[in-house]
Amino acid sequence: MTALAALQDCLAAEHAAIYGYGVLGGVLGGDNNAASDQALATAGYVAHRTRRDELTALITGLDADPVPAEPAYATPFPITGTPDCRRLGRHIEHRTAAVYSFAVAETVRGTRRMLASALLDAARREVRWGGEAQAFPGVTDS
Amino acid sequence: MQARWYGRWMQAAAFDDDKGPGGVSDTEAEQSATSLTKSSARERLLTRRRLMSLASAAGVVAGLSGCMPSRERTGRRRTPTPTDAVRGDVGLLVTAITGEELLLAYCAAVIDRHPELAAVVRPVHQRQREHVDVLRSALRRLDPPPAPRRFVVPAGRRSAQARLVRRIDAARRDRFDDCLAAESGPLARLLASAAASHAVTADLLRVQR
Repeated sequence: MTALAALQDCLAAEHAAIYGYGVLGGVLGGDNNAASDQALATAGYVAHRTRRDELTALITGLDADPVPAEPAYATPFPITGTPDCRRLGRHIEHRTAAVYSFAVAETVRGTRRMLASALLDAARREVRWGGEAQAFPGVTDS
Repeated sequence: MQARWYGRWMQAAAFDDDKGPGGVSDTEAEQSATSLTKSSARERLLTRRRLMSLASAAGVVAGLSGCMPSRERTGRRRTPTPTDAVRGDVGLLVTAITGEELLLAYCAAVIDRHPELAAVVRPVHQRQREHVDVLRSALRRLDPPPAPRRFVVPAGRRSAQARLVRRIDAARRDRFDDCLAAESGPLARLLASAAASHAVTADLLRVQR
């Protein structure tokens, strides 16, 4: 895999993550008792948008066309309530961490720094959504 | 038409993080729970194998280091070569292992001094052990450096935990910097992941204070 392909994979993951956060944000918005989850969803949504923009700029800087977002994504399970939202949050971050960890191996210098930071952020958010701490996040189940 | 969720890397998804299948019938939930247990066990096996295979890939640097010609002895000026990069990674890995071993020993010292913190620190100790094992397996050809085993752990429980968090934060910064310096991609990946693990651990310990 080339560095560019790894970056494109990260961007594709960010598109999906943003969509996923949109879905869970919508469901959580209807739960008056989910203020902390809503805050987590908002922060995650903003963070993933920022990463998407950074990746888009990086890829454009390599004279390549950034992979576009799909019109819609099928969630891996039905999202009907707050517990599903937490599960989806964990799922998004777990998968995002995996893609970033792959990309770290394919890049160097400033780009690697950005990708490694994104891996750290995703691992942290996964645990905030209730995931278990792992010895090697992003490397397991990847 | 909806796109596949996350593309190809989603296909083998197994949800070991499931805490409760909301919105499905009891039967569905039961079936789901059964399959989740199975996939979770399979994942753990794969995870171990993958981790070790990744460590082996990173460990290529150590293997190469054993057969490097010693050009320095010629006294001639030279430009950096790929073997220099390999040697740099070996040194980096040794430093990383030493740091992770120190943190492992400190976790043990905290549990020793404050048995009431065992429930909080033992999972940290376990993850730390895994860091050391995997990084060591990437460096089989070198003997692990001796790590000091005696620490001064603060008498107060809160102080002991606070110092442990500081040490974990320092380990996160170190592994992150090591990741950026690594020449080998697989080694960089392991080190970035270890840094992420430290970040998560420090977050959790801060909450549990």
